[in-house]
Amino acid sequence: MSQTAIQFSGLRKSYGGTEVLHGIDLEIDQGEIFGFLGPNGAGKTTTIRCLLDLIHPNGGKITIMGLDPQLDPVKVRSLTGYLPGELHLEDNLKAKGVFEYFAQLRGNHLDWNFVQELCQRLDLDLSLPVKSMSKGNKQKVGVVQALMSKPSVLLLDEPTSGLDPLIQQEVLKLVKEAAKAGATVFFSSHVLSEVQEIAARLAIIRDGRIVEVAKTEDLLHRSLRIVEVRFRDTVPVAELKALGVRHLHVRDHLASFQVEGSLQALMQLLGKYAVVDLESVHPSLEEVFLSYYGGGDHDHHR
Amino acid sequence: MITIVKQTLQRLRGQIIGWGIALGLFGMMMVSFFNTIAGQGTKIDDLLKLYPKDMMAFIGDFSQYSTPVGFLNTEFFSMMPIILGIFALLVGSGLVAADEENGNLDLILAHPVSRSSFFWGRFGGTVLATTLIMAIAWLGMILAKLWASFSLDPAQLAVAFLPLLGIIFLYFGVAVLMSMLLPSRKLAAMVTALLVVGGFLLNGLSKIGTKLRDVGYLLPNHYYQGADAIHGMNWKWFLGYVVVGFVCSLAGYLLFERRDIRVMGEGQWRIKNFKGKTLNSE
Repeated sequence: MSQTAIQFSGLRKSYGGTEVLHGIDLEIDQGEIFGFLGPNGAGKTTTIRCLLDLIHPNGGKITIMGLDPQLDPVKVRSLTGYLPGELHLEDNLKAKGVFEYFAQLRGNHLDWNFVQELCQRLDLDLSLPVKSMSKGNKQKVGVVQALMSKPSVLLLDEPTSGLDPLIQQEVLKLVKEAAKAGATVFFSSHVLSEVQEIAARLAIIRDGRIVEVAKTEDLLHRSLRIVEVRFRDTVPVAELKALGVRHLHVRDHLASFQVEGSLQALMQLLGKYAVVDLESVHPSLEEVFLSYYGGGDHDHHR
Repeated sequence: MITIVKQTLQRLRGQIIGWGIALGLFGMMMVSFFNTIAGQGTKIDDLLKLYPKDMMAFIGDFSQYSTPVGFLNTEFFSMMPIILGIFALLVGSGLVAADEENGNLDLILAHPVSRSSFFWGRFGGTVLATTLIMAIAWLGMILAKLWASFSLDPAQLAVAFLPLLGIIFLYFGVAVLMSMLLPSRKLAAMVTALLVVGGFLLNGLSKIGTKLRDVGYLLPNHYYQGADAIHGMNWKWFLGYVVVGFVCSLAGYLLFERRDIRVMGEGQWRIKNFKGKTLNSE
């Protein structure tokens, strides 16, 4: 049976009088790659920063590898590799100096051959001064410093941000390798294709609330379907809306929409009309994600 | 914590060298000049007696100008609380806030470093850097003794630096506390600058006018001995500086320990309305 690596129970966080996390409940298993999806301001970064005790929750409980970050922050951080969403590094250091500094903070327990291997794979020059680095190179430094101590838990906030597609693929490969070696990966992203590519499970957060937790595969193959119907005559818009279809888009005689649940009611409705063509496909994660952010707007144009 | 101390010293390396050499050369120059001043005999004393009394209140006792202690007080130690006070308020207000406003703190504290290790590591490194700057200034004076006849020995000169170290430590502590109380490093530096410069001016004025005399007792400068410490160090006053500076720093630490770390940038005022709800938050 898999053991829980990270657990959130009713996590709440307020800034001033405004609550931004309204009771997050999540469990992430050891060795799992868990995607955390949500738009800007949904609460992804706040959730991750609570895990490291960078900010103090107002309620609820968190554990990482059985430890409470508020009671034992140093131990939690020694088990964790973190890549912040907004990465800022000491300007007066070179890439090598950054790694040396962070290695010293970790008590010098570092495999320098591994650091060099990571830099080689990400095409990062160790002698490059931080102040002359591009955003992409800084992000590479961020990725290396998160991975270099071979942590038990990886917390990655938008790990591929600012990287070119080739390096993005290499970073995802490194994350997969870390998970294969036993690390638990909790990562947030806007790039749904990469979540789809590497995450076994994911959660979708919206306005500080978890609106979905599912296996990526299940979410993609869930009863949600994208349907396109070409009618011989006028599209029965009112009846389709009455069925509760999502994201209905009509152009001439063509109607495209999403249907969640059984298709039986739809088929009964279509039976009453002359249908020229019908196509039904499973949506991409991108489309599933958008369906959670469509706000039930049935006339949303894809 | 040692790593943080070392890293702080490394970051302040340029400042230690810059401030240290500047003050060292200044000290060296002053000690070298003393021969010329002493050679003038009573002429300088007679000239200085003509200066307005009000001026004495700001830059020391002119009647002692032709003595090594009086000369150092007037030419070096009287202005040092302001000069090194600027250094203290800059490094104090940026002790934690500089990293936080630059966005570096998030990643540092994501490593196995407690907030206390980080804070006290930075604190230790900065206090050490300040002491090193003064040590270089002291060294400049000692070196000048190689060619200038100056009756004060190295130990006496070191004693003269102690009240300066004390008052600078106090300013540093106040700046640290302000940076934790106020939304930005800039604001913390400004408020501390008011104490450093305003304190100097008010203290001078309190010596001139009777109305401000009592105000003087409330100011750190009132208890600043400068080179007069050579004639008898007031350890109570020195301890007072250290205690106030440390209490302010401790209060700053306790605030740092309890609050959220910002991702980057300056904070906001946390003003509560009549219902107790925060209007602006970080």
